[in-house]
Amino acid sequence: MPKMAKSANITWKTSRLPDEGRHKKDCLKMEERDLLNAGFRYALSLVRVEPDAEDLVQESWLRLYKKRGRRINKSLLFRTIRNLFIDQYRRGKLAVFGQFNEEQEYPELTSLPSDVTMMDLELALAGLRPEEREAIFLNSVEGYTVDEIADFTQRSRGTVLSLIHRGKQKMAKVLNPMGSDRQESSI
Amino acid sequence: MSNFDETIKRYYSSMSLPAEKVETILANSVRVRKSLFSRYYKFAGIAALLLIGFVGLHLQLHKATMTERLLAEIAMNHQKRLNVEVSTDQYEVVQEKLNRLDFSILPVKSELIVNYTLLGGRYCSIHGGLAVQLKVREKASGEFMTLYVTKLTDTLEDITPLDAEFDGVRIRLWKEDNRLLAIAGNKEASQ
Repeated sequence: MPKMAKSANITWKTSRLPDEGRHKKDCLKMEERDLLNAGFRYALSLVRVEPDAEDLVQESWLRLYKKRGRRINKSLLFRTIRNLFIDQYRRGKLAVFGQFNEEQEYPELTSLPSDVTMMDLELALAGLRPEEREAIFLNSVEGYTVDEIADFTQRSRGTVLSLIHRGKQKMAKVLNPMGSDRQESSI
Repeated sequence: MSNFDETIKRYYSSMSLPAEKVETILANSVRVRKSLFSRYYKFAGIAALLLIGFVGLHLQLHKATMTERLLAEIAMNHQKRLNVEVSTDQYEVVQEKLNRLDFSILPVKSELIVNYTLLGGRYCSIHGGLAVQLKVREKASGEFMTLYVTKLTDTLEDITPLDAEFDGVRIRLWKEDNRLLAIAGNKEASQ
């Protein structure tokens, strides 16, 4: 029987290429950047002012990182931002939550005009209460369902629906005054 | 997705943290984690030192207690002044008669043989092990003393040679050729 060539038994060790490690590191950093930006947008929906949102996301991120290292996900980050926001609000650092006027009526939301600028949107969002902005953000931007928002914010489903509806109505009034005027005059 | 949702989404998507801010946060997070780790290492170091200290202290106390117990046993045996089973002035004879002993009873220190006269010996036990108790008389003073010889065991190995007084008995402990030896005499007799 012919001897088997020695080379047949050799198994080549596949060493990890240096680029592979770098690529993985880059991906991880990219994920962290995306997460930070998502957190920033959420913080912005709560505080509206960019520097405050930056501080909020930074503090939340560092708190989480200290506890969990890289094991941070979006839901955890949002929750930490929210808790920190409430803490700061309670300490009077952020004067935000307004009174919820259930009696006030707003016109129904129709489609937005196509020439809405970022400045208009900013103004419209500025007129909302933080909880309305938060609910709209989670629903429209993050794609949370009403039930998920209710669970996350620990509010009833009805309240969340009302927050989204009223928020959108308020925005429509700012962004589409003609439409709302028409609607008001028709009532 | 409605026109409204799309507009809102577009607005928020245009918002992002400045790149420098992201870099600062990421750099700070690594630093925070590192300082946390160094704190953990510090705690672990302190805990390890405390543990080593505690174990050392425990061993020291255990050793001290064992020595004390040994001294008490020797002093008690000496004070009993039991009669010898083999009466002779020859170590070889005692060794021969007490044939259960599996170690030599002959002291290596020649001063013991020169300065003390053997009167006889008997079996005894030290720390649970078989030992021999030899009755000797100091030639110079005429004082009766008791010489103990036993085999070194793992526990007796820890005993450090010493001169001590226990319950009015002077005791000298030392080790020779894998054996533990002790000589005990009355304190008053030496004064």
